Amino acid sequence: MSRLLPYLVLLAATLLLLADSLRIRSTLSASDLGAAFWPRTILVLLLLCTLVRLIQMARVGAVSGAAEPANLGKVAVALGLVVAYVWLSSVVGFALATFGYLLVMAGALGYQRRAVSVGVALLTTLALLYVFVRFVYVPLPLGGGIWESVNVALFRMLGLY
Amino acid sequence: MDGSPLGQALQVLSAPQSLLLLGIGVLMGYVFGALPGLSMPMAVALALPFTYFMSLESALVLLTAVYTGGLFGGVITSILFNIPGESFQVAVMWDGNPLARAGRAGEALTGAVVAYGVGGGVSLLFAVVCAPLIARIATWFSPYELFGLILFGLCSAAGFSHGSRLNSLISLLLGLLLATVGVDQVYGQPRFTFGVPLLRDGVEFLSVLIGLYAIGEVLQAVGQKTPLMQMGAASLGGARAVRQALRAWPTLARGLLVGMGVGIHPGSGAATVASFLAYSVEKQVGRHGKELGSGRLEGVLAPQVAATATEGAGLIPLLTLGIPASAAGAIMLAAFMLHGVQPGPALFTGASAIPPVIFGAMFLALALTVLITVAGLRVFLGLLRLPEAFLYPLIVVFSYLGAYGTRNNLGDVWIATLFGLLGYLMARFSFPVPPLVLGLVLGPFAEHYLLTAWSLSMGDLTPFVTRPISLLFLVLASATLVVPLVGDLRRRGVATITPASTPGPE
Repeated sequence: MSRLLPYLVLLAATLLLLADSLRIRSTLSASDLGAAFWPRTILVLLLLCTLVRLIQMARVGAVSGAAEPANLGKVAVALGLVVAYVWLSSVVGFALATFGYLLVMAGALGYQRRAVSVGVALLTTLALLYVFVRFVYVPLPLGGGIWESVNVALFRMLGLY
Repeated sequence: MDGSPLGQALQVLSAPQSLLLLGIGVLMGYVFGALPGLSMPMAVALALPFTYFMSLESALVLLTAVYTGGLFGGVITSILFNIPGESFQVAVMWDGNPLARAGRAGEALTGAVVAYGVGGGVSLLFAVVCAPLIARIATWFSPYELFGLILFGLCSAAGFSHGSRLNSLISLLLGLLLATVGVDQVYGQPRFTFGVPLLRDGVEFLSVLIGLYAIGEVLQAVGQKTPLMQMGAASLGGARAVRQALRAWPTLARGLLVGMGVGIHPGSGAATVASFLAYSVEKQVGRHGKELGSGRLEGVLAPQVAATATEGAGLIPLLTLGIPASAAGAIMLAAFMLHGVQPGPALFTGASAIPPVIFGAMFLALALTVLITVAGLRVFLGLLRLPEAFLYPLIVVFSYLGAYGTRNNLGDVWIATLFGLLGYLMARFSFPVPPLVLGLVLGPFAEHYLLTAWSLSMGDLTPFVTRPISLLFLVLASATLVVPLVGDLRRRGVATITPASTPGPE
């Protein structure tokens, strides 16, 4: 059943998108295909392929040769840390979030030497700030509320502003 | 030195100031191309204000150098870390990264730089000698032929599967569907935007790629505990790698033809389209086509030589028609305008030194980029010796910057994260990623040419089969996709679902 799951999800999503595509105004005529023709054609083909694949798989029943068991716990932690990093960068700003992410992720991947981790995280963050903020003027996220003021003060202290 | 355009150009290019500008420009382009979050068009745009105070010739030398150096920089991160600097480096990554994982990063980088030198050099020579002929060939291709060509590229997606061909097709259709998200450029109608403002501009291509490849790969590596790189065996490449790349001259020749053929057509995205088409062609007709994706040097050479070849050929529409072939080309055009130069056929008929200065600067910049890469190989490979505990988070941070830098929008970073998860899931459930990328890249072109062809013929589809080149592409497309698919269905067997541990394009 778990092998059929992606196809079932795909089937449901395709049907939903097909329904949504009805909102695209169709101007199909002899001289004009309109904006709806191309996406609808793709969706119909996608629906057909998914159905054929589902039938193929259902015919053979339980499929052997399941995927190699992965360490899903580790994947979840790694993904969680990426999500936390992106979210935190909007709250506390890019600089602090990057420093924290590099430090925590190194620890999560089993690196034991804390002083080296702190040094690498700090130097990497500083180097990135200098390249992106000082030299190419990329407006990296500064965070919200009090954190914005903290980051502005930090950037001034570092000579970035 | 005489007063002829060529003599003037030689005088300009041999001046110490020009050589200094050339060095600075190449380095700037190289660094911007190599760092995710920065891009070659960004480098050209940043260099543009500095040219206000220069002579036109010096400005062209600087901008051409930035442009040429930037074409290669991103290949380093693509091959070593699976993070594409530009969209045209994705196909290089498909075999380049598996080579790097197998400890052959030096060979991959050397092969890429050889292809870069050959593609740029030969296409430039061809542009200089055969500009009128090239311009004539470009007129053979109407929207019918161009749709056929793109369709052939799309159908090659079936070849990316070692498991189910239907999974490849589903992946391709998902890519085509993703490419339709956003406000339609012809009719101005929103498609699948769900009221999200960010989606009105479409799904940012580079964010999707970064997510699928860089973040997805990190998740896979963390989950399966297989090292992203096998460091100990990283070879430097050297003369043997150069000979190996040159021995694959049929691959280089095919890529060159594809690159020049696509490059002479005005419009954006030529390098990206050419790199994917060259990869597809190599997969179909190359001696080792079936092994592409598992770490073959030909898989690096074909897209790289094609992408670089578009730049030489792309100079023809840029200089003769004033139509750029890429974003950086558009900025070059802006530089012409700033300095009061109107591109057009007159540039070639009068006594203007501009074309020889650009061609000469590009030759020199190509040579300098090759030298920088060869000299820096040891440094680049040293990056691979970073412990995994630092390498993986660094890849994620650079992915963040790469996605954010496309529009300075955190929404694109969320999109990259989402596609990172999708990339991981696709690998787990044996859906190959390259067909999705092919669909995403070539989809808008396919739709555009189909719409144009339909309008031209007032709904009559016969020109697709009555025009010989269009018919040829349609036959090739059918042979590539339909024949094997029907064969699969006839056998009525379900392809075994293989565990998705294979890196690269699978």
